Amino acid sequence: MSLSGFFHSWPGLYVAQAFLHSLAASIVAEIAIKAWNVRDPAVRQRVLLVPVVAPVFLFPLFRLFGPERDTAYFRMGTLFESGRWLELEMLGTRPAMWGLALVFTVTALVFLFQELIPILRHSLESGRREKSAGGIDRLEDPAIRAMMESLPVAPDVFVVEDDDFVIYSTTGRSAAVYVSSSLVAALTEEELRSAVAHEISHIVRSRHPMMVAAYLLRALTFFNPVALMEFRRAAQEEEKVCDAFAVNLARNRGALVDALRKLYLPPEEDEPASRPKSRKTAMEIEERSHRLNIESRISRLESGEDLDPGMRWLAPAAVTVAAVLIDYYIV
Amino acid sequence: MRSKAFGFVAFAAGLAILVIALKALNWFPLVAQKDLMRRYGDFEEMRTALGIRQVFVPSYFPEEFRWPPTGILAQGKPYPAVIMEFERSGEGKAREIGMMIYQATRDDFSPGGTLAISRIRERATYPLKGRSAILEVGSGVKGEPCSRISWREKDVRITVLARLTPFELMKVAESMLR
Repeated sequence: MSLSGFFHSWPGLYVAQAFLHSLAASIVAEIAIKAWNVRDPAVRQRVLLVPVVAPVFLFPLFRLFGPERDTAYFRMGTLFESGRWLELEMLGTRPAMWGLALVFTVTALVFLFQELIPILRHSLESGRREKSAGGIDRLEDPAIRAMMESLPVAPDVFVVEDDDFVIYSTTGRSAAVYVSSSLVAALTEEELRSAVAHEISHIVRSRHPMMVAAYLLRALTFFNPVALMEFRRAAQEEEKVCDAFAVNLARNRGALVDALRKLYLPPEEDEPASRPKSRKTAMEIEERSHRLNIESRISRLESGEDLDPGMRWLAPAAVTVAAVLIDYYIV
Repeated sequence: MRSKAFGFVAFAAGLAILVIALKALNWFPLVAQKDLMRRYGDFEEMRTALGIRQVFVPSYFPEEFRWPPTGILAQGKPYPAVIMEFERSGEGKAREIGMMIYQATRDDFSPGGTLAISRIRERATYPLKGRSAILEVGSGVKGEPCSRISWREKDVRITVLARLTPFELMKVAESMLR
């Protein structure tokens, strides 16, 4: 099948329209965030998930309930017809069609190598690590136990012998929080409770069906660069949502800020000169971006921004309705 | 409350800009590429632009319709297709499309629009001057009689759809073939 034939087939139409639908939905989401100055991370996350989730269903639903979208008259009078751009010929080639195919291929490879393979490897390795780990002790802290009383889960907290500052959680049936011994030594009791509370909130939220469904739907549109970016932005908001949850749980905003500083913002070290320049630059960009993200979390916690309950569902609902209406006229 | 209301205004303004931008982006390929679906003033203009040599046209017209078509839409890409619209003519007749003849190299080509069979009462295979045509008889959206006949002619599928009785429709279709 030729590339043109693919883009006129059902799967090709789905792929092209899912991309365009999420692109338009992501612009609508951005307009809503700016228009209402949405700062609540939970609301921002819902808004950002619209371009990830909606395009998975829109094309089949439109075909089912609006078969006129396929007709010549509808396509002529619509807001945006993808076929016009895909068929556009320049210098004997179709740049938009080939460009789109390239974008989808690169995105699929990014999904494979940056998400799917690392996730599979991580789950295999963590299973092995848990079995073979030697220096693991249960952390017994009555304050942490008391903190979990009102929660639907009560994960165990373990201290792992390690010189690096590490804290992470595992989800699933045997959910647990792991803290490195060096981090336990570096944090005060209050800071440690806040850090553990943050990890516990990840475990609690991983049982939330919306997040699980969003992740699975994101995986279905593995070719879609907009869904990839928006999902990553929504995942960053997840950290802020868990920060807010941890503050509610541990009741100490300042301790979480201090724990974040100690854990993620150590004094900057000199880079080894032997590292190749391009690799150094890439790492610098990654570290800078990570630092900015942590600083933004800290600044949010320090400002103690009040959440606007009125916007909790208003902004996501407005974005969903506007995105569906506009996407109907993108064929 | 005031900021929320202002937010709605800003949101609506943002959406309006997005809609305008989409329309502008949709218009650009029409300027750059000549063989995309568009309206033509007459047959010659369409033939010159798209190079579609063979267009099947009827020689018989029922009383309410006459040559030339009131509208011609055509495309060369992604596949050749021509739509001819015929409005009802005559005193006191509403200016609405009453007959549509279209041909396309793909079988699933569908013009859509206001002229459509909303309910098919009968569907039958009909021999049309040696071709096997599919005749559908039913009613339009307003309940008026509406019929459609469709057949394959070499590499194109031809369809005649009209607010006519099946008898009149077949006369139109037969007049398109030698």
